[in-house]
Amino acid sequence: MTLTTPVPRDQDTVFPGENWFFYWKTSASLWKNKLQEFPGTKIIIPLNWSFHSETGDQFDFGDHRPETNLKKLVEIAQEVGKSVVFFLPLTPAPFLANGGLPHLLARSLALNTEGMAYGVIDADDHLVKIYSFFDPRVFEAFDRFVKKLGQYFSSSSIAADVWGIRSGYFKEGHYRSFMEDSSKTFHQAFLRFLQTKKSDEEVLSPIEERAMAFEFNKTIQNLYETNARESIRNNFEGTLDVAFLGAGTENFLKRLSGTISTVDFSGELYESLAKDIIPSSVLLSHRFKKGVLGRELSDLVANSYLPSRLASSAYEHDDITMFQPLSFFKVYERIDGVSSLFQNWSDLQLWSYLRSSFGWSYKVISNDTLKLHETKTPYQEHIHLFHGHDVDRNIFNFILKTFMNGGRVILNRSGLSDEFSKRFETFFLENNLNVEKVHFQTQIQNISLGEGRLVLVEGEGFKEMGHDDYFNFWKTLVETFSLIHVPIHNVDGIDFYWRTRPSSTNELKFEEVRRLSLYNPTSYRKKVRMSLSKNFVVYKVIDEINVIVQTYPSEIEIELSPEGSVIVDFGVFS
Amino acid sequence: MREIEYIVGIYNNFNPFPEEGEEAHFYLLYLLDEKGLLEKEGAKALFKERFLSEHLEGVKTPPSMIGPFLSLDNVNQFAFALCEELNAARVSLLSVEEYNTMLENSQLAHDFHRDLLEKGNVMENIERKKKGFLGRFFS
Repeated sequence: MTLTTPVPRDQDTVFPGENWFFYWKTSASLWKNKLQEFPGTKIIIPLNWSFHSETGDQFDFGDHRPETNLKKLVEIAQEVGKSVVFFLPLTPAPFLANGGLPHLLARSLALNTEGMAYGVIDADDHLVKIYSFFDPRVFEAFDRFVKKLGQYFSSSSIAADVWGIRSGYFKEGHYRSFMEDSSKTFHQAFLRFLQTKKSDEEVLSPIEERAMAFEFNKTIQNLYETNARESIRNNFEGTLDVAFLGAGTENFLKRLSGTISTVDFSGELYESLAKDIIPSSVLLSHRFKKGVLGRELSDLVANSYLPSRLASSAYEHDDITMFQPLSFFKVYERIDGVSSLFQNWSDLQLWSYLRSSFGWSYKVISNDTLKLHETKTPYQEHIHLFHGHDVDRNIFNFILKTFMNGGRVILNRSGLSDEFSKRFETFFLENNLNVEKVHFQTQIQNISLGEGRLVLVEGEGFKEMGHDDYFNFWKTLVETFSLIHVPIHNVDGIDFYWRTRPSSTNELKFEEVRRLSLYNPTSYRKKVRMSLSKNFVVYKVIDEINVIVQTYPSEIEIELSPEGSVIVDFGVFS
Repeated sequence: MREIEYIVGIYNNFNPFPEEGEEAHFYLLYLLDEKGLLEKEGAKALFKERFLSEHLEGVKTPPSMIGPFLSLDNVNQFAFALCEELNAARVSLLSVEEYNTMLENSQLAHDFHRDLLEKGNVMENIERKKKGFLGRFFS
């Protein structure tokens, strides 16, 4: 167990990244100076439960220590022209000692699915251990804390937004929550849950048990969220997932030995953006963020993705001057602890095709983020991809609605239930739709209605195929959708990201402006080339650092020195 | 090839895929040396060539792990063989329980790293020392 002691630190420690402000790491008498010096306008203040309650029973909001006075903090921020957003951890938080628990409650280490305790190194090289949130005493104490917090916010007339955050990390490309726990504490709680769900005689299959364990985990997460929402109801805006870069066990072990590099973090950054999970670099020391990684975080997260996710009004959200991530594909993956056991997109090598042909211009949608993607972006056309085993009534309706509205859907029939298979057939018959059948590596059905297309792929019908065969399969299939995109050549080792916005009134010659950000995190000079189709013109080249950009009538060549970066805007017209 | 002093292996006896109907076996989860994580490809090849038991062929293994091993003895033998292959001075094996206790009792990242390298079930590669000694005469 460790105790947190407020010690004045430097600017880097109190502003650890992406506009986060660690108020407990500096003296309240310095808050004004620190906030004044900070260039951004919106400040994210994560709430540190253990800083306001050492025992879990008594609370301090400015009564004893001025650093716990959140009202004062908000007032100072407003005085210096900054707006404040609070982040309230609803799961273990890896940037706080003991994962955020008051030290008397830090009793049972949380274990990951491999049975290993979570270990995290923070930006000050402190060892952070994560304790289980499945201990009933933790939940009761959390409930007391959020109730007190809600009363305090209300009596102090603090109007700032509060977002609940669920913390996680990346493991082999998959987002994992710090709530995942295989400790004894979890199992004891799970057994109690099972007793309420089934009779003593009933024996669950391993798959059923896995699904139940997932449901139990979700139930407990929802309880933490519900209590927070109800206690701070006037301020509570919603819940966000946050991926802490470098927080996985593999990166922990690398960081221990000092062999980690920025490349280990940038992959996680882009994975987060693709999955609509907020990336956070607050665990990384500023020495990692001095070069390219710092620019990537600033361009793509702090000044682009984060403001858009935290927008408090629809007007702010739809700000057309803001660049949004460009995506051509919305790939659905249900997260329920069981779906991943069936045929998945990795088995069909979809990710490697998308990554090499479109970079990170795709979104991975889960049942948690489906709502975010229900509204169609007017100028961004997507291809939606689903697995049959994920199709339920919601997804079925979503597919039909998208198709009828002129959208494009690829459905891998693997695991599609008889019920929904029949429903699709009935839909085709009732609407008199022509089903074209083709055999290319597997059985494919193509159904068109106006601009709408529905392609059914028999995922189980693929024979043993290598990477190249799958690549050709996806390439051939995707080419039939005629996407407007410029591929980048020789891009190995380069980080790049596309964003887009509609054209403004003084850019009427274009329909859209696409922004390409290129970063060279390697220690080699890299040259990339793009052949521009007739729909693309180079519009602007900005923020050139260690780079030479040469434009030709139908080509652009960019030479990036080590740590070089550049932003290129393209005008796009049809 | 760079000289390796220590190899540390963290293992667990568990069932990564209960839904496949398998039993619990020993798996090596992480391999590291004093400079960082070891590339697992070579270790996986060594495992396949010399340590994969006939009884366990076909048992599904998570791609990031090495195994399954029939017993802890097999894990020890494998770790020692790896130590010899890489000409490391010593190899230390830790169960996840030992790893967890060590982590819980550490306050500083540096101390935890040192404990990982120095504690655990340590096996010395005496041959390496001999080689080093004989090397002076024969090189």
